[in-house]
Amino acid sequence: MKLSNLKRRSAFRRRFVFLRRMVVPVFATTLSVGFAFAGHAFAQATAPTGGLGAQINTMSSEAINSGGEAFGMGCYLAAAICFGLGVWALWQSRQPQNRESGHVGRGLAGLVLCGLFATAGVWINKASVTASGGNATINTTPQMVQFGTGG
Amino acid sequence: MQGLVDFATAIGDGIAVALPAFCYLAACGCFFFFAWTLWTWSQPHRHHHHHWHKPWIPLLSLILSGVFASFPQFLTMADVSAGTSLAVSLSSYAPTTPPSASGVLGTTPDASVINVVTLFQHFFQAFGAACVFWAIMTWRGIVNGRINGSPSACGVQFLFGVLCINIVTIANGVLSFFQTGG
Repeated sequence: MKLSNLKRRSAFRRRFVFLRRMVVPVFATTLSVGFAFAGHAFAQATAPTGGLGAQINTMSSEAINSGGEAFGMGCYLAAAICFGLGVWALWQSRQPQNRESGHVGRGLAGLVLCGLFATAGVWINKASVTASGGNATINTTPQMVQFGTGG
Repeated sequence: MQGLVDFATAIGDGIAVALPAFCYLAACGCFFFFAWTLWTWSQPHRHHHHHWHKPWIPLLSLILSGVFASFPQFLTMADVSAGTSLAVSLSSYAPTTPPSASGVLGTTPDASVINVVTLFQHFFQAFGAACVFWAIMTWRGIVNGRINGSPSACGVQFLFGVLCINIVTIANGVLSFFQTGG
């Protein structure tokens, strides 16, 4: 290939690279201007329906439902496990070879924790009263945080 | 400008709706952690558990489960501590009406600043509440030894969140420093 052809081709490539670099800023500028005009054109001061909040409300509802079901199942299984293992530990504590290995404490802890898991909601409410002086308000109903006046 | 206000209000709505769900799941998780840690401690062969030498760890999670289960009351108390009477509560979802952006330019520069802050107040408040939630979660992770970080940085984030919730009062307070006499 001739040297002059190579020079022409590299010069063309440089110009092309310059144009390619311009694409992103031009695209961004056009997009932002478009958004600005769109924002002006679709200006509204009424409560929108079917917006992001509505969709996230649906997603929150699903997350709360599935999370609540999973938590309830986990607490039920944990209570059953703690009860079974607690009784088993108490039984084992009566065996001559296990008299000195803390099985009595383990059995008592299992029975107490069985009750704790079985009444999880009551204990969370007690913790709410301790932490903020009021009953637990967040529950399985999807809700929205509201801010009063004076902020 | 109105489009931006509408969009920010919609984002604020999304955060305000997602936050109670996160609080619910966090409260459940904290309680489960509390009770399960106690069970593991009762096992004679698990006394080498890495939380064994920090007995407050499960109790802290129990208290935090209460904080998350009554998060609006907790935020209200934080607002009272911040010097405002802003009450935070829960209600069923209803889309927030974005404020009108017409006449955003006030008669003075500081009035214009306050107008702009007021336009985006809903977003600031929802974002601030999310900041408080995330600061508490991060602090719990640090105290539990699960993540590396600075507890004091969580305190700063907590303070930032409370200030965002009370953004109009804060903006008025800041602008009062820049009043110039005629």
